Amino acid sequence: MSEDKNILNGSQLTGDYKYGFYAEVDSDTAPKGLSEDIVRLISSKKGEPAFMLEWRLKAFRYWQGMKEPHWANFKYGPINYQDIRYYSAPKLRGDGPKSLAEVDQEVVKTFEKLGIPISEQKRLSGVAVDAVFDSVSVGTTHQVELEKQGIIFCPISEAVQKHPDLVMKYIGSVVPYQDNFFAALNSAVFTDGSFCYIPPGVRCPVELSTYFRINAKETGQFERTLIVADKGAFVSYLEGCTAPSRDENQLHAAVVELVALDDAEIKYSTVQNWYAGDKNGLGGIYNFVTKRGKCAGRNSKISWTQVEAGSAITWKYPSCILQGDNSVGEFYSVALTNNMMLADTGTKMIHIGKNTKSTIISKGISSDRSHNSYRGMVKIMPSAENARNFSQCDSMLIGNNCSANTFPSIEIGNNSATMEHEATTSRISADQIFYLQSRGLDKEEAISLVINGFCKEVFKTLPLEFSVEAVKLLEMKLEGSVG
Amino acid sequence: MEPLLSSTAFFSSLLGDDHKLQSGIPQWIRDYRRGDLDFLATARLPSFKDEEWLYTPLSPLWRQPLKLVDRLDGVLPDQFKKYFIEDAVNILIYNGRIAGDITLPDQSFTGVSIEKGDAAFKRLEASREYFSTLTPNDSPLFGRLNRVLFSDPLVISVGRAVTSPGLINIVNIITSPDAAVFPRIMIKVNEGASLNVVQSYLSIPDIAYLDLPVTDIVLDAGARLDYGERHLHSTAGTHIGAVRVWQKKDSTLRSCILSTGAGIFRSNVNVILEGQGASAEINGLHSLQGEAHADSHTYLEHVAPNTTSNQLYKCVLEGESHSVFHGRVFVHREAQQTNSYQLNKNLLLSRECRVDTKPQLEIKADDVKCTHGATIGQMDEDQLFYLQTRAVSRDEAVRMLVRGFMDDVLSRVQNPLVREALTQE
Amino acid sequence: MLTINDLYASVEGTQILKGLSLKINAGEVHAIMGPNGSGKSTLSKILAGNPQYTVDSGSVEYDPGGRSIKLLELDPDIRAKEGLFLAFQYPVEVPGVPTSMFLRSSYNAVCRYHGVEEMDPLDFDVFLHEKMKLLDMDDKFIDRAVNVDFSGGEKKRNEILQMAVLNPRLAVLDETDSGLDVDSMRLVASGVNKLRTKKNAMLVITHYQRLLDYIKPDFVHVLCKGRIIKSGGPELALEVESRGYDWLINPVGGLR
Repeated sequence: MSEDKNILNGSQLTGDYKYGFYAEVDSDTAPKGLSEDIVRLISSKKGEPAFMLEWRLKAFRYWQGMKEPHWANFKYGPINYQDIRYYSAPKLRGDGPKSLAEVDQEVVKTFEKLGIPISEQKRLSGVAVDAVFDSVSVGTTHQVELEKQGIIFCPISEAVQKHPDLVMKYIGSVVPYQDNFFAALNSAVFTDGSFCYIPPGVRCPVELSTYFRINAKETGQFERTLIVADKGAFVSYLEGCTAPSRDENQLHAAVVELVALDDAEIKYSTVQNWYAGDKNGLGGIYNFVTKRGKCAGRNSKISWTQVEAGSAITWKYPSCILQGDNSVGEFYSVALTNNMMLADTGTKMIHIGKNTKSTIISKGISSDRSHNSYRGMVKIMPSAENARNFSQCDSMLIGNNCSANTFPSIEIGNNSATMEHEATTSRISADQIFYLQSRGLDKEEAISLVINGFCKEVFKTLPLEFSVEAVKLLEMKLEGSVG
Repeated sequence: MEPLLSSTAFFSSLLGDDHKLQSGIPQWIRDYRRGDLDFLATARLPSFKDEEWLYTPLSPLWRQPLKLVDRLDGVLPDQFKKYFIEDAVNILIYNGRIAGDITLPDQSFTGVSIEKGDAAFKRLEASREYFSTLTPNDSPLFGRLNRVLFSDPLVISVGRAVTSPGLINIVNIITSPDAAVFPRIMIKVNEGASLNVVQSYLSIPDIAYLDLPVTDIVLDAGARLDYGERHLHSTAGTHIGAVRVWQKKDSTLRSCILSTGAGIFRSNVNVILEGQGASAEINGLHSLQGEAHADSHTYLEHVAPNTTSNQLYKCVLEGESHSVFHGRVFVHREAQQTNSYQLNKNLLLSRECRVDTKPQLEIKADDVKCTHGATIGQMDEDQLFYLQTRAVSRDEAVRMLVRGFMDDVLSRVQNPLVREALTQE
Repeated sequence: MLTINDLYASVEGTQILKGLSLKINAGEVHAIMGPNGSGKSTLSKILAGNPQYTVDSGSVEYDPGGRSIKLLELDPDIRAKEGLFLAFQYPVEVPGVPTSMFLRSSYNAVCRYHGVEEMDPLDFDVFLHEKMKLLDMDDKFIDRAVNVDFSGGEKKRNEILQMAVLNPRLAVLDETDSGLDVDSMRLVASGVNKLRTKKNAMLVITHYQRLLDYIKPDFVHVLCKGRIIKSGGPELALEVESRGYDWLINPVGGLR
């Protein structure tokens, strides 16, 4: 019995972090600390128009008056905001990368090690990649082909210069800088991220993808992503994240805004594997992210899928504001925590328009001494006639030192609403593993089969390239399961 | 920052003088009260920022001029006579005071003791560990208020291995406008014993009051309690009640709380399953009309292994009524082989009603089976149509379906005496 | 093929098997009968390597073909890869994992072990359908999660389907008849009989004789208090059926 308990005490989820190397890159870094001067420095480094600087300064001043949030189920050490570098860019020859040839070869190599080819010759077919290294975008592929269809896919710093009207119209329209502490901070100091605009009636022919990598020490990463799907447009967007293993905690406070106009659809998928700290909880990324989509138009649809497998602390609620009549919001999530990780993730579905529909499928897997919480809200406003919601939140525990919590909150203000919420908690039982083993599968294969079965409703919503990667990532986390 | 409780009319009308520390109250209770009063003097008002009170605004309460009822006055109005049950032990708590002597009619109550006054205080002292505890689901403010202001405790206990087949029927009645009443009831079921208790909470229509009872229940090893509460409050009344249960090894609780809401209605049920094999069934049914409000907070704490909890809370809403369900299940690391089931179902019959529900699970043990769910929906049009094609009028069909929705809860009340007492018109 | 020598084994500190010895050759079908608590299921779990059961002493030699293996030293999956199959008395539910995917993973794991090429999903689908015909099973069955919401009979048929897919050298059927009505039992037994060859062997554990009407054993053993107290041919099963176990357990008492 005792030997058997050991199999399942969770220590098998401690596979070493594969992306823990860091690159020796000469970087152009701002001094530590945050002040109006730093905000001005970032804006001038980016060569931004005046409206952008104004907006950043407003956000900064607002942020100074705000208090850092601390939630009951959720404790983290104090963050010294003056001890972080808010700008770190790989040093470039000249003023900026005119082409990938100008990007430091170490950076290109780093991305290749991650399996993300950003050089045009090696790029993945069918996926356009924007790679963000520390604070700046180092290469975006497929731009020329996309431009032919009128699709804009570029670093947001470039969009600020080339498409100021679009940026001005939409930035902060879904997540205003007053929204929360980390959104205000991001609005003041964001350094890069992707911008994407799909013109009316265009179905983006390739998956758009951004890979984020934190490399430099003592930096924070504050990227901002803005995706606008105009009337009748469709886009599928993928985001991947990694960071090197370092002893100190690093802050990642991103903002993602999605806007879907009439009949538009945005599918946003994330595989998050920031460095999670070591077995004892030393180091790792604080992943405090605000992600929100607005279904502004009729019949629009926004679908979030996330596989969260990294970060020391994750605090993230990709949400949908269902404003347009008949709009649809979806949230599919797998969150795996091991070692000392904390994950508090979920979604908000705000139903405003008539006949709006939302679906929430959340799967949490916790092991070792980690804590995994689902926190979600479904709010049906009085205007939302015939709103529908279905939520399912399942947890799986591996070992007896972790915890799984489910905190849904449902507010119904219209009697034509229908909502259903279900949640279950289960474990991988010793009996299941023995049964599968007695059919010839080894222990790791058996555990991985059960976990993949548990997560399959989420995995099937991922684009194929990502679903393979997600399965691989979970399997990597499960490495060393025997012994 | 919220204002201090001590700055309100509420505070000065209830806690203005210090007589709560004098007059016939044992010293050991007065010691607790000193600490409670210090707490209350510096306590801040709960507001919407306070998660526990997010959906139940208390602001009307702080403005209310309330008065403590020091003595029994008037004759019990006839309309309440029907709530006294033949063959049961009937105990009247009238405007917060236990009225008359308590007589145990026949052999079906052998081994049962029901006490008030000094004898009851003595019993409370013997169970100080429970009396003095504030459980995680207790509101620190209201829990302490009851402890400071209760004056007439009732203690029911049943001896070891005694199975009492009869019913103990406690009838709480408020007739005095602006009364603030603080019933304090303790039910102790000793090892292997069993007992049936029902409480009714009644008032004359439309008067304002504050009803703030605390009922403590201790179930020893192998004990069983069948427990029911029925609430028929005034639409202007405020009820903030706490039921706190401690369960030892293999004990069984079956409980059901029915209400039609109130101006402010809040029911906190806290069950601590601290002995192996203990099981609790906590059901609730609210039928709300007009502007009625009903807020149920349940907290099931699985401390020991092999414990079971079942919760079914249903609510039917009409008019501009508002229902809140906040259910928590907490499974401690040691509580392996826990089975927990929680379901909240709401049926919306009008356009203006509102539902807020938070069914929550917090789990630290890996070998458990926990399921929870919440649904919110309307009358099924297909079912209505089907009934109508069988010659039933639409109104009648609605009534039938609502009845069916509610019967699901009532049919779970296994004890026939308790079920009859809860459902009699 | 299988030689069990003076085996002692315990579960949760209680010794169940107390000196059990048994020899099974290729091509033979052995039946083990015995009253409740005699150690029948413990034997099957020890053979399959359930980690909740511990071996105190004794040995089990297993010869899947031309070489001898110390069975007790192997992990459960290696035993399965070496051709040992246990049909569970209580098949375990594995939510979320479709039966067809499970069977393919399992089949290919065995292929990998033996250095044989794995089967791709399409070929496997054809292969699986052939096996399903043996047991008169329909397609719905393999799309469902392993054993979840299966009836008792379906679970047992699923066990035999797995046996058909993995084609074991030695199959241990642990009370495969329990909870089955006569029709289901006939179906399961005919599935088992189709898998009987000269090269493989079976150990059928049962409480009742009725299964042995359908799966004819070559040898019958009676297990009691952790050891085999009598061995014989098929007629022994009939005798147990008519006389019960008492005459075997207390032969002296029986005479008085």
